[in-house]
Amino acid sequence: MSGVDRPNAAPGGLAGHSPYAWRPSADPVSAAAWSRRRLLVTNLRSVFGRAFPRIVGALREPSWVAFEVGMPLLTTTAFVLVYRALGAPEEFVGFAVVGGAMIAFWMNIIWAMAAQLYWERSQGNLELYFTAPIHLMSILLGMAIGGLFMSSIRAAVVVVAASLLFGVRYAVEDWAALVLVFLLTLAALYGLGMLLASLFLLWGREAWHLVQLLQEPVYFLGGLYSPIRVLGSLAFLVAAFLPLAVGLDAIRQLAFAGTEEIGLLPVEVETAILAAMVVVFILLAYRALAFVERLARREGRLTIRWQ
Amino acid sequence: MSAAAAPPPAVPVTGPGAAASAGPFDPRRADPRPVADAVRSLRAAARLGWAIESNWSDPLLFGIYSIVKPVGAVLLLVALVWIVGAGGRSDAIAYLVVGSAAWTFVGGALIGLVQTILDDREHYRVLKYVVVSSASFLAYLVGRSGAQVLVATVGCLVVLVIGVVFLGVPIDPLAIDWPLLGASMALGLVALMALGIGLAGFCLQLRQEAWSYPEAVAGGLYLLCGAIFPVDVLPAWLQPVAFLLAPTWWLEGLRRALLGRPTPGVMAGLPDAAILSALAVTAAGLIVAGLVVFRVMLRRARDRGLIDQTTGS
Repeated sequence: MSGVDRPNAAPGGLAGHSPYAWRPSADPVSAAAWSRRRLLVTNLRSVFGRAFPRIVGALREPSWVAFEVGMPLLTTTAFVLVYRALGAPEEFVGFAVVGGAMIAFWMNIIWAMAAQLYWERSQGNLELYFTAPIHLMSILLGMAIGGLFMSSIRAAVVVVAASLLFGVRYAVEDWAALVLVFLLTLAALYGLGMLLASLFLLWGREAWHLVQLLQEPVYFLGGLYSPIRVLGSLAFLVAAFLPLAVGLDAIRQLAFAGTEEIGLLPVEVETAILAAMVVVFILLAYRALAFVERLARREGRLTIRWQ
Repeated sequence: MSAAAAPPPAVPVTGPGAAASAGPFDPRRADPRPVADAVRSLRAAARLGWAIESNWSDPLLFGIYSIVKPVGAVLLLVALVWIVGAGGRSDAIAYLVVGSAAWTFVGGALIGLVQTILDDREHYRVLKYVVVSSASFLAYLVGRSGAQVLVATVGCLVVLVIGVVFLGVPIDPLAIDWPLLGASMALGLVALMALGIGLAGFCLQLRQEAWSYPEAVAGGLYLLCGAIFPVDVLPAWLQPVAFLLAPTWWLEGLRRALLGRPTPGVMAGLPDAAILSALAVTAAGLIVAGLVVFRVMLRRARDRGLIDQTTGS
């Protein structure tokens, strides 16, 4: 497109209005003075722009469904068969199925949120994010929304398929509470993911090892396949830091009414913990990203590949 | 002026021009020596693999990672036993601990090997140079995964020690059947690597989901091979599939060697010799299949220009 095609561009190029300015402005300082509305709209566009490839990519390349659904189903089946081999009560099979579904979100958070900025740096996108007039939180929010789309499908299919396969019977007495706890768990998890994203960027090429480290040990501490209460007093410490643990414990109590005695804390308390986690993790992520951005601009080192 | 006209001082010729002044071409240097070349490639690749695995990360983090991950995996399983009140069943805990400890090798020898080839193509973008070099590509792959097998060995030993010390797993070093352990481990590792090699060749043909295939195959084996529950627990129609897989016999051989008793159920009726024979036969099948698939797939990848393809995955 030539400068003539643009409404703000003068035929003389730089002699008139800048073709890159949103509105005619007297100088660069006034050009950089954006209104709140414009800031908000630009950041919302970034959210949409970062979520878009994840959603569209998922729809265009449906082969991921086989792996994203099949693999957790395999693992969940293995744990269900262990319970059956041990002669466990049937509700434990349900616990394993719900945990297997929640793994979808955790995997998405550590691979596609926490480590994502590190991968973006390797691909050369990170410097574009830092130089664009947007907040990194909007990029991460876009990632979260796009990731939620894929993870939700994966989790839903795992729950439905495994429930049908193993005859899991749910006993939900309070759907509203279940939905609220589930949403709070996701919000807290993705807040944690945003915080981890900036930390992974600082820790550099340890990202791969860190992601690996956040799998099996977290599955154990988070009570993915067995109620967290099995950890004893350690469970209270875990519940204070890991939204997956406290959220899953509350979801199990709500999805299998009558099993409250194996819960760590009353559902009301766990809901309050989750709400607090949402606020704390998002605030911490905001501060950490601001720190990372300052560092990137000041030292110019964070965007160097393979570091 | 006189200084500028003086001839340059004689210096020993090194670098790119060295060959021209090193005398006539020695044809012996171009003689193919497949075994020596393969050993050299293997050694260099193993050193490179170890550098990538360990030296490029913080030693403390690497140590924690090497130990905590397998320990987390075994505790995850033991938690299942505790929560259902079967904590007194030492047989179940011993079964889970040995299976889980052995499974660390699947991460190194199978998943790690496939991810090596993808990493070199997509991440470091050196696969094309490795393939066109005179190094043995197969030896290079095995060498690269050697470092991961070493890490897996450490993880396996740590899990076993934790099992013995904290979970009461009855492993007595004096009572271990060392010949059975050595034979099972050697055959099992070779079988896993052969599977990894075949899968690596296959994954070269793929685009986005190549990274997921080794995990998927390992997940399938985890379910079918009696890693964390006896094969008897599988549906009857799946049990024959389990008996066709080398890892099933590998795990049974390891359990017998370490625990001194067979797994109850179908396996209990088989003598140790039968277990080893079945492992040898299934491993041989995997080796042949793995090498054939790898050769065919590598040739196809060369033909279609897939060696230097980057998919952005």
